[in-house]
Amino acid sequence: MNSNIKHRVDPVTLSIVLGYLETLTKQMTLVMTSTARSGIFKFAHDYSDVIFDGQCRCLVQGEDDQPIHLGTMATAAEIISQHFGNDIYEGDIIYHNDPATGGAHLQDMMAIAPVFIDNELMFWVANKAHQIDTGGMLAGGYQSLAEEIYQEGIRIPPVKIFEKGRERKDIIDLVMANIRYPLEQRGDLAAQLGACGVAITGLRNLVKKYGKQTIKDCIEDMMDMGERRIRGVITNWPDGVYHGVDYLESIRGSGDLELKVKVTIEGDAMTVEWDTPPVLPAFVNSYPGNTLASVYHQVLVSARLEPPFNAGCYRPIRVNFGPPGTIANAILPAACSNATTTPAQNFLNAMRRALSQVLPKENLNACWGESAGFTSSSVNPSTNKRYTWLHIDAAVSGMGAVWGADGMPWMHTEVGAGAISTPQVEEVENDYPMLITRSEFRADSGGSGKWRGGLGGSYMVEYPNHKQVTIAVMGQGNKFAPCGVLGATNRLLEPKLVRRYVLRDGKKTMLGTGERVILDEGDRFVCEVSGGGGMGNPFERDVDEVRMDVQNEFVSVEGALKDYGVVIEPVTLRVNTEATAKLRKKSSV
Amino acid sequence: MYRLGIDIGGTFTDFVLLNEQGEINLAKVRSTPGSVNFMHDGLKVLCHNLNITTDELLQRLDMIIHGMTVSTNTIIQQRWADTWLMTTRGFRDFLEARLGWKPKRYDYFWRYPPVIVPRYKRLPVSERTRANGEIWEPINTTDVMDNIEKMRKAGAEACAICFLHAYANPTHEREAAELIKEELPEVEISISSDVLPIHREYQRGSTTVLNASLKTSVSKYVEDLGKALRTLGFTGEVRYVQSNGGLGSGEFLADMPIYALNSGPAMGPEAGLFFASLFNRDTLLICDMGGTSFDVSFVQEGSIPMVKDVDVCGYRVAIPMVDVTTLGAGGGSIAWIDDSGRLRVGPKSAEAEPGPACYPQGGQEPTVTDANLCLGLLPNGLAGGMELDRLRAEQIIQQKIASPLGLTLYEAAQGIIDIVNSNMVNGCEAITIGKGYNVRDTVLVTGGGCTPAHAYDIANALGIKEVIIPKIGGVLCAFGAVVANSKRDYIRAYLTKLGEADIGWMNVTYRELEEKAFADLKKDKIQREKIQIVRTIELRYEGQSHELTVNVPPGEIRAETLAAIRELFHKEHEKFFTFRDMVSPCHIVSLGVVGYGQVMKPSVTRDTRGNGDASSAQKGSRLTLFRGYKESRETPVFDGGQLKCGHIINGPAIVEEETTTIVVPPGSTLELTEYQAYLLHIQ
Repeated sequence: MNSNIKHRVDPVTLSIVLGYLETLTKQMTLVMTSTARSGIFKFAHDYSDVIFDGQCRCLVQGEDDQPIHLGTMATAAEIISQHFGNDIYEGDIIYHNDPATGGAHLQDMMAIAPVFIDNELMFWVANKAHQIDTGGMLAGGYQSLAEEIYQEGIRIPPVKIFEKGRERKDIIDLVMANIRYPLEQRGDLAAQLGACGVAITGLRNLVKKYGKQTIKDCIEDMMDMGERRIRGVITNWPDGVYHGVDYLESIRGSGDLELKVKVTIEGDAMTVEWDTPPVLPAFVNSYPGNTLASVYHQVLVSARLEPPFNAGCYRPIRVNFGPPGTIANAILPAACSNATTTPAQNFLNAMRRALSQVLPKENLNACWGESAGFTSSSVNPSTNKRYTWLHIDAAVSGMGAVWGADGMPWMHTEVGAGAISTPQVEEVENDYPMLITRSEFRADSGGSGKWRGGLGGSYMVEYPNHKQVTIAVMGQGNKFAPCGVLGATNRLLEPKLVRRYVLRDGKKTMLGTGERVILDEGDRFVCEVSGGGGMGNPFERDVDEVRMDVQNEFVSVEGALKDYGVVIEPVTLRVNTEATAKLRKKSSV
Repeated sequence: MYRLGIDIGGTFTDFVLLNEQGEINLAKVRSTPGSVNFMHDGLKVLCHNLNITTDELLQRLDMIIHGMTVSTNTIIQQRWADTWLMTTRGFRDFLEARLGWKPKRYDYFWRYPPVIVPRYKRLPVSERTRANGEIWEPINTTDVMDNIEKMRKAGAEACAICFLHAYANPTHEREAAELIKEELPEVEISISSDVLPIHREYQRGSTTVLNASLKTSVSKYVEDLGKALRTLGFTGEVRYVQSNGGLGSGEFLADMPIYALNSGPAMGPEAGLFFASLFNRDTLLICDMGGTSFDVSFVQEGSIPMVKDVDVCGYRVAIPMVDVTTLGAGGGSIAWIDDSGRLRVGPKSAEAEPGPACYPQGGQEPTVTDANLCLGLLPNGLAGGMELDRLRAEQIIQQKIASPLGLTLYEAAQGIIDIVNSNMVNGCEAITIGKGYNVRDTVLVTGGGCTPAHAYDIANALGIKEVIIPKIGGVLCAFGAVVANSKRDYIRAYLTKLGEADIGWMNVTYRELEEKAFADLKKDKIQREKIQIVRTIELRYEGQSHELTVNVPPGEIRAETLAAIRELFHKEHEKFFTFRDMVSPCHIVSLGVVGYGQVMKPSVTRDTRGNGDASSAQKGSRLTLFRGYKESRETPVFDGGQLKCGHIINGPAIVEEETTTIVVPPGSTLELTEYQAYLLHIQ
């Protein structure tokens, strides 16, 4: 089979060059992990590294990086290179976050640098990182009140912050002057530049060792290899047209909206066409780069390929974003600060529903929970300094079940796919003056199924001695539970929905999608997140598994009964075998 | 008097016997999983070598140093004690949440190994301490008693306690531990503020849970071995190899078994440093390529690299451990073509069974050993008289690699070697150049049976000109054990700005930790004058979540000391991460003390140097294909056992030792030195 494959470079050199490039992205990641400064960035590993060739084709991406970044970085790199044309030189470094030119949302700031070898542009190296602030109406970047992008903070179109090796301090100052926490962000920028620096040195050594032509040939071979792998998978999926949909929950009176996708599989290629409503005056619009990232993400997951992934893998996938000015193809001045999770996660789900109709069982996976969090901003009572904390420590959902296994608990948004670590209580409390009073799995939050979805989190926090705390929530899941696959249904629905509320004198005040609230002293804030979707009929779940879930309080006695048809004595936790058999039989008739 | 080092491997157990004169005796016997019978077998071989009786040997033996595998095996085989965990109410899931991180972005099927303490055994206690150590909510002892009842009913064997911010104030943990001790005296208890008082509940809690879960099996092992040795008539001391690269007593490890976890490769760097220092070198790369994996460490200026916060067998451990990077690159690594048509080598290995294709009853997949054999770099027979089937190696490589890729047999074989070498070089670069360290012109020390066949290529790619190949490379870790020192680590969390640090408190704390080190090492029978203390401090810039460790200058800490520490940190940060930050304040994360207890420094026997003519040791020649050759050429083959100190061999040549084969490519020279070690010079 392999004998038909013709490479430009001998397979040994090719393998060695590829291995070296992979090592380089690992080194970039190491620099970032170890030196990043601001919270989301350092705890959450919310950054990604990519090496492109001179034509901005992605050669390698960091193994542990964020899928949502990887898609947008490719789009942005291409636009940036076109933007500067020949006006690009050795020692230039470009800074960028603008969704209108390939970015996802303003929080994700990318440093990208050309790599010249003997005056020829051979590579671009890029690092994208989520920053803690973008200026704008609210600290933290997530602009739940914004109606257009101009309210969301500073837009950075392709702009040189280093020109021929010289720092353009004025430009950097301009950016930092528009951001609430410039000190942290300067540190993060230094980390980003450090990561790029490691890659530039490595790439120079690589070309020096093998010569330009060999490396160029390797690149072409790599693209072909990537393409061949993905085509080899798609060709096994039955041809046809498959429709998928997911729902955007009502935001500011928009009503619930359908986000529709049509996936056409033809031979070894696929076309993905979006059909979404006009952009909303809210932060949930997706510029094309962001939509593209979601498509690539779901295709790669469904294909179950091993890394590496490069631009060749994207070749057989054609994407039509729908008419400009719709949610999947946003144009200026649409607001988008929540786009990397909502609607990106909706896009993943719509794609999942379409692909579920063609995938072999072993490739199926259910929806992840809504990683719905919030930001709190206030004044630190002991230092009198303003602070903002994006509660990624609260925004933990669960992974969807897969064929043959339960989903893992305590995962952040699917768009990060396990890349985001949770800041720990002891870290947060050493850095911020709040008191977290609960951070645990939420019982019954995992979608029921023969294989259960992973559990989401239940989180409670108070702010001792604070006068006022502004809370802004983001993410969805108030109305629609994460969907299951292959007959997975939820009967006990409430714990599978996102619930965020203020606790004051024992009374709950619920918050809806995109709302904000001001806490008074003594108030507590609770954030309960949904888990992942289940797979298969929950009444077929192994009874002993259900019993163990109840023993572990992953599932309540009520949940066992309603979701799984298993009758468990509340005190002894023994299964009533007879009643269970009867109940399960009844439901199957 | 003798010291005996014993290193247990999956198949073989290595014995290294050393006396004060530096005379070495070796034995390799079959491992005896689950029993201590290997002791009898090993001693028998040694006695035979020395021509003395077991009694005579035991009388002259004053210390046995042993790398135990029981703690790692207990985890791998999931045979830990029935372990429970008490946590602060509202926070019982950090152990299973695993920070919400998973590797492999697009792989939704990957899973962690099972959690050691399932949720129903994680019991909450109402209590709360804040980050500054202030008690916010007193401990509810009724909760503790209720939990104790649950544990009693279930027959719990071990209990870990990890309350929030216990590193800042251990009062509640100690109170709970007292109650458990009173009520359930037979339950093994580990409390997080004792095991590892650092902030970050996942790392501290996971380390504490592992420690609690291992106590039973490790103390039993220590007891069994002690008994077996006493029965044999051994009256000396027993020490165990720790994951921090030092030695500890059985008594200590029975209480802190976490320090025995993953101690297997921990002695390699120590042994490498020992050999390098004979050649007046203190910066070295130590590489150990065995059958399935490649272990590598970079020792700089005599200091063994350490790491903390890593997953061992899928479980997070945050105590300091010797930093050994392991890659799936060994003699048995399988060459294969992936779904994109890319030639790859490893990480899958043919293991001991079925082994490389050329082995008797070998596997169906081409391996690195097959490729080496194909090129004529390995002899047709290996240790133990096993015949290697070169023809079969050639057939398999032709069929599985050469034909599909359109390569000649020799291109394919050379390609397999080049790729596995490149994988190893990438691994070496990641821990050196990748961290900002210069590896050029340092020295490479080899351990493990397969390294000497690949050492030239690895060194050459890294710009290293000298390779030290000890004759005892095959038992390097056991040798490391007999030359190692006792070692204890102590840490105390201290989260504050460096500029606002309380100097008085720091001095008191360092003194306390040092006294602890003296007291503990005294228990291990180390005299005070043989103890060396190193103070460390962990620092980071404001807002970072990753800290760097620097050594604190000795003596009383004063304002100038803090300034010196600040400068050391800037320097270290720049070295690691290419920049220093002069604007942000530096923060302290923790203070640490390392206590070293010198056990015995053997003197080294030096062989007398003879003339350079090695021709008397040549035992034949064979056709070998070196890189760059168009076709195979006759290459002289030497018998390592016949080589004398001072003999020099110019490449191309092959030297066959009992447990390894040294490849001397064109452009290199091999010399047997006075320390029973070869020196490979690369031009």
